[in-house]
Amino acid sequence: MKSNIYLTSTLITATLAAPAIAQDDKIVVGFATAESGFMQAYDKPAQDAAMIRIGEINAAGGLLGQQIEVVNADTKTDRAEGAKAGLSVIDQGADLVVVSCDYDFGAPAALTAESAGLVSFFLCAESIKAGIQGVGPHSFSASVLAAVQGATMAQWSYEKKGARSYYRLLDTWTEYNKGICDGFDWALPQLADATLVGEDTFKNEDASIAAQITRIKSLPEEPDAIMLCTMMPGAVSAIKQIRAAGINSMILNGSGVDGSYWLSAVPDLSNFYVPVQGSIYGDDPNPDVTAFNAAYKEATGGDPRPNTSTRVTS
Amino acid sequence: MSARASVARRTLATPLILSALLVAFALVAWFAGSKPFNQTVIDIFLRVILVVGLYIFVGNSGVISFGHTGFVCLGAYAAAWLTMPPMMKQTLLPGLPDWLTALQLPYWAGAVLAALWAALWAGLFGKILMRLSGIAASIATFAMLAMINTIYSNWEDVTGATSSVVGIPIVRTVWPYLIAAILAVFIAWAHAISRTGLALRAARDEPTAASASGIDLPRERLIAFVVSGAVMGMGGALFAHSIGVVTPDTFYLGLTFITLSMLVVGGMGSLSGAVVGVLVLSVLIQALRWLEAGVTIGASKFALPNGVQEIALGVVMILILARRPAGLMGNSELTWPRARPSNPEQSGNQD
Repeated sequence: MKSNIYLTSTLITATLAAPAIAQDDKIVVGFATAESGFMQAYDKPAQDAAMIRIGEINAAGGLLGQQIEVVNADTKTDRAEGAKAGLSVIDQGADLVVVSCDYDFGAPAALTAESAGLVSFFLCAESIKAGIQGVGPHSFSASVLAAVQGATMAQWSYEKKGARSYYRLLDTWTEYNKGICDGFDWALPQLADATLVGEDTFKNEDASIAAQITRIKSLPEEPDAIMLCTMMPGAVSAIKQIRAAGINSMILNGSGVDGSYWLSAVPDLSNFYVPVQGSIYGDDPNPDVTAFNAAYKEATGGDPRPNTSTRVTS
Repeated sequence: MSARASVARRTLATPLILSALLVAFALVAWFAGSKPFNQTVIDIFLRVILVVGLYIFVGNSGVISFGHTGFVCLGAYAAAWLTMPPMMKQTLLPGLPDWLTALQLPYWAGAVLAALWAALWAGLFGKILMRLSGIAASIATFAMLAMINTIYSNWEDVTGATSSVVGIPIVRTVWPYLIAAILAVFIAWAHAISRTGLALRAARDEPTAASASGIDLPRERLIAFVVSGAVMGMGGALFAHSIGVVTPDTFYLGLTFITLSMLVVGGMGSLSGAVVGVLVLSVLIQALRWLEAGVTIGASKFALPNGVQEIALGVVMILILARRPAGLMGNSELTWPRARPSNPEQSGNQD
């Protein structure tokens, strides 16, 4: 189970440098995030992490000598309430507005911040729209664009795992899925003698992908890697079916399958790779991540949760 | 002709009182000067428009419609098509015809056209649906909603499918919404006292006698359906401008049930009921949300647990309906408090 919460808190800190120019003796960060409704499960861990970092900064004397103050408003996982929550934190003096993880649910609050000339920050949206395209020049997201993940997986498997033949399996359900495969498509031609031996599509809700599996099985040789562009909940079933059919190719994914909560559904899964921004298993190469995990556990009593919100982003 | 004028004069009090109520809300928002509160009042006005739109058909015909949210969806997306900057339309909605992509109207013109667009579809759907009666008609309107939702959730090039459509100009002043809500109230009033409105209510109460008197029921229903579709379309367009984002799932079951329950709690057979239902429930929702967020009394802070709002709202609705099964207003309208003996002719608006 991995998490990008660490990055969220780091980036929030980094972005705070901009509004720090404000001429009062404190910097106000407004959280227009979900405190109730289904988005709460996604927003809360990232917000907890940000609060830990803000506490650390304040304890160390603040940012540029100014203490960070936090104001909240609940979006109730509702778009119209999201716009109100955005206005509410701005009214309370926010210099920076942090909005819900998902683009669809964070956008109304981000748009209010944008029209007030303030910086807005999605906790972990991975849609290309969560930024300049969908909000405006003052908007950012703490997570990595889906296409970057697809491109990274192609390059990493080529360089580190020696993969040469690839199969591309796209779940056409969301833009997030398409984004991963778009990045993969962009990266593959740049890798010398890497070939795409086949491609196929399915839908997240498909109960069976037997037809697609048959086509993979009928290839003259099993591909080195399958780029699986999908997300929950259909991902588990697809992975299970691929392995059950005896296909042992390396499976590459986007962060949509991050997390350990579903692993019991596919026992003994191996040769399976996911791009993430940090590890909670104590084996992260960055010592700061391990230190953060400990701080998070102390503050909240649990491991950092997987950032599953991005699966909703389309 | 003179009889018509006198009906109008006798019943004019109702829309005037309702408008005064709405103006009072707008003034409170204006004086409060708080941005989130302003947005809350805008939300209330939007709901007034939608519930009054729903009343025009449901109240007068007696047929419960589950499909009117579809017209809100049509109106909201029409507003997006008409008012977004052409650059954004090119990238987000590449399937729009060129003339529409190049067009960028002010929001009020967009809202008028959105209302006409919704009315057009109400006419097409209504032509078939209005031949049905009772529960069959209700379920048929629900089927219409499901169709509209499915099309808008999948037509990638034209509606952006399930993605949020952004770039719709945001209007944050309360006045356009107030004007639209008052307009909706007057449209509903004018329809109710018109020949067709009276005929429709007659048919609602006594279908057999009405048919025997020569009332063409499908035709009268169709007129109400189109008028209410137009009001819903206008509401949808303004909804889009109030938050600047539209997605198909906003205009589905959630909105359908909240608008229907506001109408039922207020009183299905009365225009005043439609407006009062929205105002009472909205004020209640807002008060509970404030309590959830926490109120400081003296030194201690008092806050309800999250989620109490939804539960309390349900309980209050049950209580209101248990005490007043016909809704807060029943079938009566708000009028000037005049000690006039009840006049049978007055049933022009009181039925």
